[in-house]
Amino acid sequence: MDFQIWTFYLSQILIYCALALSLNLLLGYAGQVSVAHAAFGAIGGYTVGYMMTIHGWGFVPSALFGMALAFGVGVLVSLPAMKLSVEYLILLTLAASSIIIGVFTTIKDLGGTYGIISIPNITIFGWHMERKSDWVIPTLGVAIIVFAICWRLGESAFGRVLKGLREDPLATQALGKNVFGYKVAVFGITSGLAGLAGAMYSGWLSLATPGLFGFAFSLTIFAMVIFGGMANLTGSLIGATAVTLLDPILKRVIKIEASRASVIQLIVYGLALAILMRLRPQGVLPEGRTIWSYIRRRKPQTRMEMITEDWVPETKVVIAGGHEADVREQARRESRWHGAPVVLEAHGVSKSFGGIVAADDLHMELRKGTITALVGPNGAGKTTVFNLLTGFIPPDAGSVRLNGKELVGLAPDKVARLGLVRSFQDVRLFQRISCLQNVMLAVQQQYGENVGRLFFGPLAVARREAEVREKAMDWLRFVGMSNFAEIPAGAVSYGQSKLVSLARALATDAEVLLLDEPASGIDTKWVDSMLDLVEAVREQGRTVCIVEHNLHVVGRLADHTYFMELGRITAEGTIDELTNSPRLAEAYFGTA
Amino acid sequence: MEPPDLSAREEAPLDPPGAVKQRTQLLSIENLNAGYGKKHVVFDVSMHVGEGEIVGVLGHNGSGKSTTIRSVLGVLPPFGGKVIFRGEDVTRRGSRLNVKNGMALIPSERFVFQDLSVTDNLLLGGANDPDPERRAQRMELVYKLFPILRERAEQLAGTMSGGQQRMVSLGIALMSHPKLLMLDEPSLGLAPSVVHQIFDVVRQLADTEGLSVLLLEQNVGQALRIADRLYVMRSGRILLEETVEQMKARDSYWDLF
Repeated sequence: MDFQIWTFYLSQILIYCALALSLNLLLGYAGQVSVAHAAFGAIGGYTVGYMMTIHGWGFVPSALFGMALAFGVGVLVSLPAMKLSVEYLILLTLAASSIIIGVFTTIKDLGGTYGIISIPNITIFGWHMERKSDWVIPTLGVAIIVFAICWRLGESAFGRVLKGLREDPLATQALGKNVFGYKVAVFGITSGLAGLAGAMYSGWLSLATPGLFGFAFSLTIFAMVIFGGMANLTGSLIGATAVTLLDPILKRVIKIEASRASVIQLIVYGLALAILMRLRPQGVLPEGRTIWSYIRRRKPQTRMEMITEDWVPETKVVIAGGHEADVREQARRESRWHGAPVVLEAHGVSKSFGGIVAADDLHMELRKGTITALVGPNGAGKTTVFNLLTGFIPPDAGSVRLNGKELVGLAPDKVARLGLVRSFQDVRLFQRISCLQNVMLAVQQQYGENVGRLFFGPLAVARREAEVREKAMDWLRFVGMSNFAEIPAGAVSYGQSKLVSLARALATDAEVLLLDEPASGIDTKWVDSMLDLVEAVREQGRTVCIVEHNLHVVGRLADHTYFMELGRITAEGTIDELTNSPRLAEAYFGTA
Repeated sequence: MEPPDLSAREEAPLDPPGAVKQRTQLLSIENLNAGYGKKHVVFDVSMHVGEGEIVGVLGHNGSGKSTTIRSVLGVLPPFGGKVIFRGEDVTRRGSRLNVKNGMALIPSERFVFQDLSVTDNLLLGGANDPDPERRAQRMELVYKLFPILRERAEQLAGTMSGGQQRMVSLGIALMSHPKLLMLDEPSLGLAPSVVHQIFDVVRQLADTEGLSVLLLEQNVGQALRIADRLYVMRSGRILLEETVEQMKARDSYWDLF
């Protein structure tokens, strides 16, 4: 008797694990909040009930069909969800949940408000499920499959992009990742897995009712994920187990009568969640930790220990030290600029927001192997120019050509893949993943970003992943940050994060780099190392454009300078020519 | 816009060079120790700022400058030591009361209320001042300092450019009519002429209104231009205290860092 009951709970735990794991891939890894997870389970459960009772299908094909349907509906729901912020995503998935359950309730063949309550006996691959204890093996099988899929997707190049999405979709797109495709894929896949788990749930209980897959159940799955730890699959197993076992422990071990147990259960849930949020806000197992790491008492390195004031970037680039370029040197560089072929050409680019003209008939050229500086007062529209060139803001008029290819109208990720990559004024590293992973994310055309290859070409994926890691490490070494490879990007100092962001931009292999204030906020001591790095990049033949206020930086780097005010380019030439203009000196450079 | 007229100050220094100014102390920090969690960052730091005095704090990233002023404001409880402000011990008093009593801090990160208009941002900065007339005066000062903010008064602060948002955050602090202004890297991301102008205004406020300033800055040249006295911090300790004249007399100050 007792054995039967505990196997019952074991099956329940395994099904809940499958649901929590798949939600964790969506919520913990990709950062997409969905409160419709149980409803996607309902699609699987109802499909099993309907196909088996009305059409006489077997359980396995019904479950697979349910999974496919859930995948399809997941993709449909994700389409309008693409550009929504978290608050609206919650609302949208709440609405999706109500609609899915509502539709099932209104269909007569699905049993209306009662649901389907007479799913016949089930046979799985010739094995008849007579007793509840027979279900342990199939549910275990499904839980293992779901774990394997989620682990493979989450801990791979694909999962790295998902984490990028979670941390900063804009920066992910700027690195050439098709953000839209990834969101649709992860929504579809996790919905499909929820459908599979829901099918098992209905098969196991022999019923599919609206109440079984209601909103409350979605929230319970949500709680399991948060309790266990976001982006930690082992944590989800713990979360599902703890939430499920609370009920039998109260009833059978502490022997509270059933009617009171359910009330006390709620109180215990509430208290446990409140205490957990206070003590372990990241869940039982935070991201990146394993049970093993606790047994060995290994602590991850934390923020303050890493910042030492004597730290200097350990780069192989020869640090030349600060030297202001003299006039002759500037003239030489300017003539080099005039001799170089044009790589990027902006022609007549305009943009206005409401009444404010952000860019007015811009003409700009970036030339191969040179550094162009864009200077001008605050609010002149310098960052907007970067946004217009890279497709983050579509221009109202004009054209932008990269090696003759028109960029206007292309999505930012497409522009990045063509070889035009920008950095951000506010750095925008992916805070919760390591510096190395930040740079790895930037590598283009990664083999392991394809879902099919992850499962059908594991050896090639592993080999390519090692190559990507090596390449990213080389770039980190180039900027002198290789000792920080495993430190979360959020834990390094501001100046160091600028170095990592440079490495990240370089790792894209883009031909043209747009760097937004690469040296601002960096320790005076490091500015020269930063400049040497940018010069080394020029030596490679790459084309660089910088936005910068520091005239020391512009003077040392720029081969050609554009001056911008009120959305127009009003002057160009060497930095000396610009600073010697009395009008510009007053408007911008200051008299000091 | 006309830059504020500072010729008077340059021609006739308030004190003969080398003389020690006798000022009323506004802020004294005594043996301050502070840090995050178990990590000790600031060790036995003592500083003082007189009324109308601009005190520069130099030192590179991670030397404990920002941690010190966060402790002074009360957003980070210190491990030990005392903060005395306007003659009262305000250690661990909390930032709400300290701001009410005249402290203001501008963090080095871009800080504005993204979804509020520029005007509302500024008004929030002046929320502690019950006198609407004085608020209007302060607003006028901020607008005069940054004319672009007057033009964009109704624009949402989050939609402005990076440098303009820095201007809004400086404006928010000025609106609170502070006695003590703590500036963390005010020159970050601003055009050179704007930096020059902000520093001029800060000097002017110090001279005319007795505003005291703790200025944390990497831009040593600009800091030397307006400060009266300087501290150099390293590894969470004060390495040196000098007047600007003494500092300027050095051949090189790079070895201090």
